[in-house]
Amino acid sequence: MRPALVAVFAAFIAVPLAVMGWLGVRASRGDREVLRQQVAELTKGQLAEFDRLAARVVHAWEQELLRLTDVKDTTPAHLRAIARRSSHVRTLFVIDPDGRLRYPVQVPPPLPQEREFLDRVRPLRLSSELSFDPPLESAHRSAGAPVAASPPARAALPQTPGRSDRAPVSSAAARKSRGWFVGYYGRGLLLLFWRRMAGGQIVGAELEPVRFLSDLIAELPGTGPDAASRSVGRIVLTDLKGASLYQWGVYDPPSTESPQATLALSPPLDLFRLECYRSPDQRLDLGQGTLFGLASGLLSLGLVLVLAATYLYREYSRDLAEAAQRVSFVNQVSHELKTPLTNIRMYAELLADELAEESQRRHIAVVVSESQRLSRLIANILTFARKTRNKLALKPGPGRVDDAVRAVLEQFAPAFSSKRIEVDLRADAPALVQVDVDAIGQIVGNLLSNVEKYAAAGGRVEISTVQKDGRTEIVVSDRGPGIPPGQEERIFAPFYRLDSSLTEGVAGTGIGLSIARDLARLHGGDLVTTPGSPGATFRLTVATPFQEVT
Amino acid sequence: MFLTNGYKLGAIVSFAAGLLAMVPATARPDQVKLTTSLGTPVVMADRVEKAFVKVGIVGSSPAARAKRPPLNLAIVLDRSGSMSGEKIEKARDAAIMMVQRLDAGDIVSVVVFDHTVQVLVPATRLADRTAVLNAIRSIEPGGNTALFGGVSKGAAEVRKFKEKTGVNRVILLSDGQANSGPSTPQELGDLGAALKKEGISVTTIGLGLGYNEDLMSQLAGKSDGNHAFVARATDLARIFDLELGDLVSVVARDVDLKVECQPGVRPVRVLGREATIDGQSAYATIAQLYASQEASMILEVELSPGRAGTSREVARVSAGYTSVESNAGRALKGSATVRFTASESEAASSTDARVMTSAVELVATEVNKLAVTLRDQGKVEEARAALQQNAAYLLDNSRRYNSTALKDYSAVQSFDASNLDPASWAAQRKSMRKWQQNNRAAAAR
Repeated sequence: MRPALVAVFAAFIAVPLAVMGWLGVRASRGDREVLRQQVAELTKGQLAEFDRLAARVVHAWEQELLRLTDVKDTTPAHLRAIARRSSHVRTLFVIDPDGRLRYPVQVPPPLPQEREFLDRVRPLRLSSELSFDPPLESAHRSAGAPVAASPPARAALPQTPGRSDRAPVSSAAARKSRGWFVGYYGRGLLLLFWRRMAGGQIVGAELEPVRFLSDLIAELPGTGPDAASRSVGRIVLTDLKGASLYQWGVYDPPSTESPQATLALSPPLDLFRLECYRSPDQRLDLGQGTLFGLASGLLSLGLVLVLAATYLYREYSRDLAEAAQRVSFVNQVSHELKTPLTNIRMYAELLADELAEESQRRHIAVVVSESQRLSRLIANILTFARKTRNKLALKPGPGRVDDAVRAVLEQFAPAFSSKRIEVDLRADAPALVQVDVDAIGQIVGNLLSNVEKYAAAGGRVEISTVQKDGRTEIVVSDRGPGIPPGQEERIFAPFYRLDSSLTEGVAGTGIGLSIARDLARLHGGDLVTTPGSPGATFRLTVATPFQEVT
Repeated sequence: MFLTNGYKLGAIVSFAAGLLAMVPATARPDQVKLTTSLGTPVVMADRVEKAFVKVGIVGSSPAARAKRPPLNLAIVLDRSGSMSGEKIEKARDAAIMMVQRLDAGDIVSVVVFDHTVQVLVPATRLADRTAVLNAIRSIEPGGNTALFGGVSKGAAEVRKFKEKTGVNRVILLSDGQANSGPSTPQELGDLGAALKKEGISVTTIGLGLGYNEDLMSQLAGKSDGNHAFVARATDLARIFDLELGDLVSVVARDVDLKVECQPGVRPVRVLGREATIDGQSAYATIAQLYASQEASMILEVELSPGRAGTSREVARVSAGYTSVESNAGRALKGSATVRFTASESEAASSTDARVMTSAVELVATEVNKLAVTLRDQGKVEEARAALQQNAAYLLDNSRRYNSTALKDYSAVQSFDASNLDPASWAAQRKSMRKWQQNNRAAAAR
């Protein structure tokens, strides 16, 4: 197969594929972006679902805490009894309407958990406003080390800002009736709940953070063998410092992985966050649809293109094979014809010399002329066949161009005289040069044959030869109808015949000029038409190096 | 294997009357008895005296009961990577054996944990035993140790049926360090205490040498569950068996003890049990009372000087509990009175050696704990001094009360004192913790 053909077929397959692929990838990229957003939304929605579970725990605790703090009797004994029995609270606290902490205080001596409570909330400056005034964060930051009463280990730990439902300080009317505070004291969680009683007194509780966390975990899903647990990836509940408190889901992310989505829980638990991790499989799952579609689309298109290319190639090569067969057949036939024709011509020429009678000589001249025409035809066919097999070659040798031209003219003399075509030869290439006289003869013969066929009406043909600097130029002009404008090149294409009244009724193979030009080029020159009026002018140049006489 | 929860001790027998100023409890004979006794019912007059009040509460024998109340158990199994091989096999076998021995009316749930927690069998009545057993058989090890989450989920399963049944228990088996979620002994202890208030106890079984004994014992101790340390997985079946034996013998739960010190008596500390001292009163809760076993607490008090020949009421004790059989609340009362004397010999001869032995043991246990704390802080010499003093204290009292146990303990302190060097500390610490828990559990029973 020819390389050019391979390239054509490759392009035939590759170009549509590449275009399709590019468009597909672009579309898919857009799809993926949309998809990713959808997935992010979905994941957020999923996390929000878990946030609702956490809110349920908050609500349940609030109910329990409202029950626990609904006390008329605020004596320490009573409050301690409540805290002792409840697994929800560590200690209760009471703040008077005037903003003073009334319980727990130093008298009666606080229980250990009450002392811890006092240490933990000291930076908050609990007051009846419960607005943690000055604002909580700054209170925390400026708190510094709690006072001497607190254990040194705890005091050394950094204070971490917490959050609370802060009531507006100015407007007493807008005071909240209850609220939460969730923060950290050192490493420990600090959970407070408070409610405002009818008299403006506040009763609150420090919650048992571990129990709260335990309830939160109990409410959140566990890992299961079911599909839901698989699809969830891995959800991690983290605290303020990002440490994992609890996690669930089958997927086990490497520690370097960053979460796909993050959601802070709703207040008051907004210190906690939910992080969602997904396995690479699952992430691919989400984008696989379009990629797969694109890949399969490209694949099928590629397949169709390859099939089409194969079909076309097979058709083409069959045509090529048939053409080659035909050429080969014609070539063989021509070879078979050549030998008898040579004999016929040779004997006809011998006979012409022997015949004395004028009419007989005229008859035999026709035989000779026709057999010469046939020889040229066969020579053309054989040359063309050699050319198609890339075996066209010249056999240059010492010779004279004028001799070759004269020989051809001699062959055409009878035909020209019968068609009354006058020949005007200005021969000026008499030198002995390196030339393939057969090729020159064939080229000129083809030109003269065209004159005989198409320009007989002009009644004149001018042939001139010029030699200069190792090149020989032969110009053949007739007075025929000439070559229509725009056809000057196409007449040299094989099998091209001028489609006009000119060619009607005139036999021709359509390869004469093509071969003439091929031979001229092979001979280091060219064959072109030059505009001439009237009629057609062909200019043949060939390389004819000077031949030393030895 | 080491069993540190006093299974082997059986019941501590109640006390004879004699010189003891004991007031028999007004309990129904078939349920629960309350005893209140003083280590030194007769003390020297005209000086500040230290005294130990022992409050004991004893359940009736299981034979007296027609039908045992249903159990509500969560079996929480560690299936972290370290449980691979024989450990997980034996744990499965032990759990299976336990489930097979439960009644159809019992409620069981199975929770496993590694990084994450899986509720393998949600709380359910044991109607379909096969499903539960198959679930246990499917447990495969791998991953981290989210112990807090595991216990939380187990407790949540128990909570589902908590109101309806007698005995609520989470049984936790772990061989490792909790390393996912809250993981400090303090946090797990707080969780245990909170669960106890709800009436849920956590029994912890530590397997092998790698687990955090402080964490597991805190969790069990604060929730009134048992804590067992099992060196070899092959002993698991026995531990589960013992645990089940305990559970089916529970006669009372949510026992609230209140010891009210009378004028002239100042409560100092409570030994052998989690308790709160608020003013003149000490409060303690006992999650459950096993049949034929005494649960007790010892209150150390300070008596202001009294005149010879007079008596003084030291403490009034009240106990409220829920009878497991009838699921009804009951109350008991008791009190203890001390007499002041001028005669040293009378005071000495009236001493209750049993109470005093228990008290000395618990005091020594506190010192031993202090020694561990000191050693943890790197104060090797101070720890050694404390232990040596402790040994002397125990030896002294062993002679006074003619107790071989105290003598043995004295030897233990001496041994501890000579094993504080870094090379052996890790193993020694476990051994000391074990001893402490052993004493505490024995006293609490």
